[in-house]
Amino acid sequence: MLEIKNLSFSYDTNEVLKNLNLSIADRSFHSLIGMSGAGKTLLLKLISGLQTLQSGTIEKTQQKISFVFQNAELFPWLTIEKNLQMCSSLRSVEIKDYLEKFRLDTVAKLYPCELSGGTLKKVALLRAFLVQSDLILMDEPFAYLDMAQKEEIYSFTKELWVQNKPTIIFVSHDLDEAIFLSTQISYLSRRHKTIVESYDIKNQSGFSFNESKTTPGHISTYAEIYGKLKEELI
Amino acid sequence: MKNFLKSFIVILLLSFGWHILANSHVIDAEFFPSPFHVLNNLIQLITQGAFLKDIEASFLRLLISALITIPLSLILALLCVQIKIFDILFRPIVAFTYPLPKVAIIPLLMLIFGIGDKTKIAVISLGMFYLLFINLYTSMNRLKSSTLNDVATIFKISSGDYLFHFLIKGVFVDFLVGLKLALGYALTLIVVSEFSMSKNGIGNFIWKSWDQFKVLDMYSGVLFLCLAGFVIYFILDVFINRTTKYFNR
Repeated sequence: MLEIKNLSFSYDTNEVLKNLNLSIADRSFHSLIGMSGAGKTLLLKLISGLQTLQSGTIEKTQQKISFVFQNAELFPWLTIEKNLQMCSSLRSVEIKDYLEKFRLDTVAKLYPCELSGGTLKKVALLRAFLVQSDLILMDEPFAYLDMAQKEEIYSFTKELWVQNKPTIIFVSHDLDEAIFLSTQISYLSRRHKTIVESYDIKNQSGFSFNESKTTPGHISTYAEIYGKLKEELI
Repeated sequence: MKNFLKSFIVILLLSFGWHILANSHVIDAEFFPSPFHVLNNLIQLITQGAFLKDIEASFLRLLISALITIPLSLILALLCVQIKIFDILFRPIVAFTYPLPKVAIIPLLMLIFGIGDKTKIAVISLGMFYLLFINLYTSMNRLKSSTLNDVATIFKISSGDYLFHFLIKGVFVDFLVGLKLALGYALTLIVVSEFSMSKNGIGNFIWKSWDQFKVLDMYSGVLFLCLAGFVIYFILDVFINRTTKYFNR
């Protein structure tokens, strides 16, 4: 369980988060949706400890945390194998097994600059799951990918999540992907500087991403959250 | 290779211009001899062997200085970047002493090390150290404030991996750029230090030639330094260009 209570945070006089409360169940795939500047990335950094708390508390039962950044953020001067090895402390043989299992064995000896954007993001995802963490924070990890790459990486993410079942907190601007991947979505309001609504998402298993978008559950959730986003624009 | 050829052609064209001016007596060939005559003389000096000893002496000093300053600047940069108290104590000393022309403290170094190779090596090492240290320190700090440092923190990379695979490897290209600048400056310091307190070396050869009014020899020494600098820059440039793509994010 991850429990955030009365969390507030300001950059000098600019208050970004105010009395934020949020409870996230273990093994859930929890998405955070909100306008740019609502403080989604900041919230992830506060949970991870990359940013120091100013007020409020974050209690978590999870011990091992990993992070998937917006850009893959692999060490460019190391091969993919070395990147994974250094972050996971696994042996070379084990890394090779994982890479083979997730169809990435051909890139083991390559450098990040030699990979496509989609493959880089896959490696970054694999890195987060390899460390056997029980909490994975994802900050818009699928930004800048084309539709075909997104579809592939969505199923890759689901595959990894189903196998390991860590708690995932996922930040996204793409409502469709959030609804498709998540078990729960929270709406972080830029105006109110806190979570104003949470939605339980029905399991979409068995559907592809495109099929899922046409289901009634997806359409109604999309409309509801989109309504919130539009309200903030007015 | 294309860039090397272009640079070579530019130098060749300038030399031809100079050659024409010297041969047509527009400029005094006694004081400004044709570069081709200088090159010819340099080849003779090298093949005769005497100048080789001077080259060997100078480059040995350069090598020893590099072997002292590279690990020293790396260790001190790492200490300053990783240990705050070290940074607080050492950085002001560097900031205070860096602007001092290294040639100005030759007399002080002579007092400490005497009139021998040690003083020359100390001057060259000091000149190289600041450029290498400042470059490494700045690059490491930049790396530490990047998102990649967050990656290292989140994934709890071991201290050994953090130092070697993150900090040291991560600034490798910047180190090469710093080394390029440091070696260029070192060539200047070698010559200056050998002018006044040496019995051998390229600087001594240039000064001796001037003293004995052997203008062609003096120019040959200068030309050799230009060629040495050019080759060092070219080799390092090739290396930097080949490795840069592995460091771009």
